Amino acid sequence: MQILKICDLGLAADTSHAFHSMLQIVAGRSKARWRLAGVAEADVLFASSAGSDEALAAWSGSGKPVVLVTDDRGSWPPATFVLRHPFRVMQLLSVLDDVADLLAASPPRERGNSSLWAGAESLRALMPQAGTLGWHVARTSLGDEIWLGRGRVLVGADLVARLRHGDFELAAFHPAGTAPPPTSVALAVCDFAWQVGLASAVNLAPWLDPAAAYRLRRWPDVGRLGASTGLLELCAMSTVRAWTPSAMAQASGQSMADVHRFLAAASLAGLLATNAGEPTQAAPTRGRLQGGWDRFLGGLRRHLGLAA
Amino acid sequence: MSDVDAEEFKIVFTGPMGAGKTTAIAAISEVEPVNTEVENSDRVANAKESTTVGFDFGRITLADGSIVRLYGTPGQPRYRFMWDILGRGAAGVIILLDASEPGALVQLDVFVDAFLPHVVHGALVVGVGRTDLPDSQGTDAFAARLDARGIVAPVLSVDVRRRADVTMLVRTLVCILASHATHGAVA
Repeated sequence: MQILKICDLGLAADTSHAFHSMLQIVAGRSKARWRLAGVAEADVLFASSAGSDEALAAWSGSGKPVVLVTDDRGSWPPATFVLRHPFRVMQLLSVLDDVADLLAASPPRERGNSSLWAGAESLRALMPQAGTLGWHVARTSLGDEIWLGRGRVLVGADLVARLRHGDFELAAFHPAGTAPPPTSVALAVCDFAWQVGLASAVNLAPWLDPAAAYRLRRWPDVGRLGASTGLLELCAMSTVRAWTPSAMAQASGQSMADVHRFLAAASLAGLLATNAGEPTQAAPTRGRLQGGWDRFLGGLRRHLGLAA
Repeated sequence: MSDVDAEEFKIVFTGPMGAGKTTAIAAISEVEPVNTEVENSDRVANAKESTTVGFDFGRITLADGSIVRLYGTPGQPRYRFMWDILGRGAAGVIILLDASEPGALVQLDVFVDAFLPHVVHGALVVGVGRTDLPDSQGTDAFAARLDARGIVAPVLSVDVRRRADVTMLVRTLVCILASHATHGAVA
């Protein structure tokens, strides 16, 4: 499922509160998974129409879809996505699904926004020496501290579930002057790196090449980390052959954003290999499993909830 | 590599004695598994009270009435003749190991050698239990062992007493089979 970041701007306190509550209600019902983010990291802006003209122009000029919330009953703002306050959950869900559809059909925005990748880039730079590294610390956008050093990652116990669900944004690691709190929970560095990749921006990681073909050289421990059906399928097809990001998205039927995040996760965790000269065509080919096997596989996939 | 019987879809659970094969099949079979357990006469190798000497059998009936058969092999090498019988024609194999056993990595080699030749496209998944015990090997050690042999297969931490963990093993295996069916090279 596509993960999208949304930032609320200029909303009155009650509207903002209602919006945050409703985001939790639409979780699991929307076409995308929505996470709150800062304005720079957000994929979508959720803004009040009562802002200044300069502010409205800046939001519109950001290139990000803007959902405009208006109290004005006399006119309809000239915007693609509008909600009239007070709005209901189903109205919010409908607008968010429209935005998700738009983003899923849009080409990825400009790559190379360094602030989006600062945490991942710094982790990637430190990982080769993680075993002997002195303590480094990074903060999430909610202020949680994440410690990296001596071959492991240490976090507060309440952050573990959020890491698993991708509900975090990571700033860059920097050397720490102190030791981590003694109550911290230890994670394997490669597990943490996988989670950082899955929580990353929708675009291809800056260190990956859109023209290169990638395959998995080793699976992540999906027993420990968990994995959606989509993620299992990306892992499985990446062990069959190497794929360019666009061919992988086409062949899997998954969004470019999900493919990009999978590749970022596999790359950060050290599980990805680049293949030169290997076939990467997206057109499905048939292996030797045919006939009765199709029936069994299809039936078992449905039985296990792997297919609609 | 054996030919696959298009009228039978068989998943084999294998691994050493005490790794949890009988428990895993019981966790997902829709019927009470048929098993051939007897009192364990080899308490030196494993302290469990009973062990499988023939095979375990469970099944999953699909919506169209076709049946997926789940077989569990005996764990002791002296019943190895059963491994070939049960492995023949398997759609995929799930190897279960106990990470707290000192010889677990060697056991991985033994069961890979015994079953990989039987399965189509090497549809193999490894489930490793008790990885959280102090002296246990992590799943990385098992994955590295497969790496060294040029085998790319998923290695999962599992607790086979949990149905969700066993289902994850089977889901992973089915995703591999489906990927080979859809994206694999034409034979």
